Amino acid sequence: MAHFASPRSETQRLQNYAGLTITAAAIVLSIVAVLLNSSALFYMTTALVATIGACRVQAFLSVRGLRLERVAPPSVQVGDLVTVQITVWSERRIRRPLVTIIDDLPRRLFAKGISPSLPIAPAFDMPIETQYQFRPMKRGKYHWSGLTVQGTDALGLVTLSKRYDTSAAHMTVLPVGVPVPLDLPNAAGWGISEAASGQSRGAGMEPRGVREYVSGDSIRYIHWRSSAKAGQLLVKEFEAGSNAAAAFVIQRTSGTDIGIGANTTMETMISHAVYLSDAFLRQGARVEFPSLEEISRSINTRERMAEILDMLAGVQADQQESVGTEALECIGKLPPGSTVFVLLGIVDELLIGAVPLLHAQGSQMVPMLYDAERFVPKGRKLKAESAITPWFVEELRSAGAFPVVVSAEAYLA
Amino acid sequence: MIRQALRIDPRRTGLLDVCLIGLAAVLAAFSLCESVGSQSDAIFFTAIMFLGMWFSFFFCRYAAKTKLVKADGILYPVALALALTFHNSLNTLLPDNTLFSDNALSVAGGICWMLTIGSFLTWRDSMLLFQAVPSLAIFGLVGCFDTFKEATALFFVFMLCLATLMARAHGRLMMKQAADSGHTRIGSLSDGPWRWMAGPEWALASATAVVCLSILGAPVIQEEAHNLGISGLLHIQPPNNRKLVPSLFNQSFQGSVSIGQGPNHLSSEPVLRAQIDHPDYLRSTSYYEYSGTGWRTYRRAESARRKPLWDYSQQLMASPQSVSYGIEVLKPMQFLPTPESALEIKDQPNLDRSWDGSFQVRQTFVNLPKIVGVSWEVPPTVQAGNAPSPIDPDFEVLEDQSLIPPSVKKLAEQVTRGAHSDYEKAQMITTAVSQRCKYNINAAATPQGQDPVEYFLFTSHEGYCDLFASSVVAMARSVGLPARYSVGYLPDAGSTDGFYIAKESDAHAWGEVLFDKAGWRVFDATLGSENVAGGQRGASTEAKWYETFWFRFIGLPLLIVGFGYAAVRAFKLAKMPKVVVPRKELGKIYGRFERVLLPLAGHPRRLSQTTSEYVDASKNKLGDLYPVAAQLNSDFELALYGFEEPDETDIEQLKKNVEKFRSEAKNNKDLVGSGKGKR
Repeated sequence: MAHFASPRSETQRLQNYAGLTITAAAIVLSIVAVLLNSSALFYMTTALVATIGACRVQAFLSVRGLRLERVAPPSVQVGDLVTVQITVWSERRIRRPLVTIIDDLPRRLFAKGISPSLPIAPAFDMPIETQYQFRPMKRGKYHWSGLTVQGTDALGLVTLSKRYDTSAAHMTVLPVGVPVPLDLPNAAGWGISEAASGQSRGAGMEPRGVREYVSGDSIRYIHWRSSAKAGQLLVKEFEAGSNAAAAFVIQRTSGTDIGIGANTTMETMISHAVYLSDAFLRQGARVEFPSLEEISRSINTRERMAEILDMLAGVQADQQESVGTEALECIGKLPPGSTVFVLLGIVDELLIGAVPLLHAQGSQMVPMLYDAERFVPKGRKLKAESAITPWFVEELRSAGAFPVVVSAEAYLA
Repeated sequence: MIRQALRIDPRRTGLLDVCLIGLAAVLAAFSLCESVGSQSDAIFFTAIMFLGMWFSFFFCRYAAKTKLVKADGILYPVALALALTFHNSLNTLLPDNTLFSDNALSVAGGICWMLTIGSFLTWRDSMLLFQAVPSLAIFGLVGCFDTFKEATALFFVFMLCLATLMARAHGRLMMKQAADSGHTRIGSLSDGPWRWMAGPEWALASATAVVCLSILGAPVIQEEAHNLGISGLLHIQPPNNRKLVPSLFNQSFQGSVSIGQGPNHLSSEPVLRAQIDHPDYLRSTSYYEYSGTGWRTYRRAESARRKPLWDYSQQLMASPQSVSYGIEVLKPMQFLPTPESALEIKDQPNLDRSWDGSFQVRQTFVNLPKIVGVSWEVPPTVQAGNAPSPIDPDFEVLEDQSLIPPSVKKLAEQVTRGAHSDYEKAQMITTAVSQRCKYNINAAATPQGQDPVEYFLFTSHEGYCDLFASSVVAMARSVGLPARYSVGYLPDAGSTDGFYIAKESDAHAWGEVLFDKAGWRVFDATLGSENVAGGQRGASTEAKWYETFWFRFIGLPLLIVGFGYAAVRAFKLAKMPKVVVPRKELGKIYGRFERVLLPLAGHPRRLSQTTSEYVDASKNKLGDLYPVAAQLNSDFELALYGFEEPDETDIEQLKKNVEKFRSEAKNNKDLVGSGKGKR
């Protein structure tokens, strides 16, 4: 459903009210003029009506006969300031008052701070460019078409709009990472817990390549030849053993995305997944989303992160399968010793059964549990059980998982 | 500080905006005051509003960056509500504080106060626009009264001010919107995306259309409404307007009239056409009580159940004859002037007959058809002899001498000695006044505290009709004659179509004495009096243009402000170092390019044509030169409207290219010839 951003200012509204006032005054005075048969009032009301009429004609003409094209950036991040360029041509040889363009942005984009478009005067067969800005607040892959031209007369008394169809705009809004404190148990042999410390980052036997030196790296791992070539310190990086892989499974069962707008369990889980993915990738670990993709090939960190962001941008809570079933699908896809992070906001009993199976495959499950209750809009009740329900947490722990109740401070605002 | 405040910034409310709404408000208040006939109140409101305007301007400039400026959103409605609540108290502060004391008008006065107080609290565009609402209401009232013809013209000026203000406010809004959109080069908008905006030619065309439509359409609509029988269903009592009866009579709102008020300026504008047999006194109304400074209507005439005076005077007439007459009113009047003793008016529901037979206008008179009426007239054969004796007790006011000075009474007794009849007494009094005093329309006013009649008869010996008439009536009453002070018109110019035209300067006052059998007889002492040079009656004494209210209180201050502003701007411009604005310079070079194209294209570029359209439209005529012209035009477009600001090198290059193009065009003489041939 399209949503018309209407960034009309207070003054513009007042001008429109002034137009309404003049129209109302014209009507009332016309009636009085007739009733009293007063010449002066006839002249006054005719002038008022003619003025309003002229304004309406001007506003009407200002939005007719236009051709528009829109250029939106193909990919942005949540909260980025996006500038959309719109080019306008007039198809009529008339001079017009200034017009503004309102984009039919998708409502689910939850755009904030939509600026008014630059007012322009379209010229015949000459491209006139305008722009507006906004900040998308929800990740996703969006496609929209259509623009609304809002034209006023030169006095600003009458505002008329006309919608034009345009070619579709495509924009991917990538999620951003939100820090989440993750206090994992000290479990030697579980690749990821090793990777958390600077000293053990990439500390396996198999050489993997070189990366930038970061604080904590041992001087003995500096690759002097590469550093000399690159002009900066580079260290040798090794595979952190075959266990150093993190897999993320996000609850995307239909009806489990609790909340409204950009403040939902799904958005929070994805932003945490982005943060953790980035952190693990920087630490040299593999990051996989087995339920969303095939096992990735080894590519460089930046490309992998971009791939993850693009993939997560399109995730919706529209699946029939439960998160427990999806966790089971990881079996066989992940190398032994992987840590499977399962992010969920609603209780899923199947997940309890998946824990020992994963364990048997040499993988550790870390369910990240969110309090769905906190995302429920005021005045509504949660129909399912929140994932932080004590019995569920206890069951998971009993099954051998390391459940983490995500702190409410880490939720999105 | 003042220089800083006066700095022109198109993005902020400026002096012109405040002036525009100030002028609009002044026009509204002025129209209202004029429609009820009070110039002093008009001046008062104008002066306060101008003060308010300046206050608002300086305040909004100094407080622009503070939150205080937004307080007008609260202060303005509160002040307006208070003004409307306490309008009765506020109206007493007016110079003519009796004018708006009437219930219906007091609210109108309250709206004027709303405007006046509001003028101090209009600090932002929104409030400036809001100020138009009470102004519109006032114009609506003025239109309902329809007693001030110029109100229509003033309303057009008001609309012009309002439209200009709205256009400017809209422009500022668009600039703000441009800044909000992320556009950084706000100063060059008019050279960029606003280049092809509908400009002043559209505004002029729209304004002309509105004015033409109004001027031509309004009468047609009114006529159509009249034909449909839906107009004139309501009647309202317009406020009494002292200016309806020309100011010669100095009539005040309560039905009293001052005399001996000094020179009076009356125009030669026609006020009515009278279809009568001969030039006659056309009586508008009469006054009965002498107040020591003027005359009053008989205050107890309507309250007591007295029989009407017109009935009594008709009963006194011996064998009266009816005479028909027609009156066509050209200017709004409070009373309808009628000849002799008016008996009846045919088919005119808008007139009320008062106690003494004068006809008061119930509502606007401008559009009434010719009024046909009948008056009683005593045949010339009936000689006036004596006054009715004793007079009916209901009409003893006609003989009231209570405030007449003893010296005047004594003079009356002296001049009527030896008279054989009352008629003869009246004649002798008239002659005495004529001989004693000179007529001078420019006579000075009676000093404060002096009785005007006494001062006229014994000290100044100069005055105009009001003092002559008052003296005759006062002296007649002094010797026991029932007399009254009448005002109206005495037309002295005939007309080819049987109508006598009365001008504003034909306004007149005279004395009337009541006789048995003869009824009311006119005694006009001005007729036999000597005129002071240049002060004779009928000479147009219209005010000089520089003495008019308009010039003195609106035109002159605006001129002074305008000249002052122009002088400051000119001085600033002269001192300003010459800055070369690249796009402005480019505009000049493009103008040169257009002038080279003109003889080739055969016609100048139309306003609606873009530069490329102009070149394309002339493709055939340009022939071989077309590719060069198109390329040059494309370079111009890029430089003029592109995002990159052109530098000096670009300008120089374009200048050279235009020169080159010019020489090429000159060389191509045949082409130039064919172009010229087609012009």
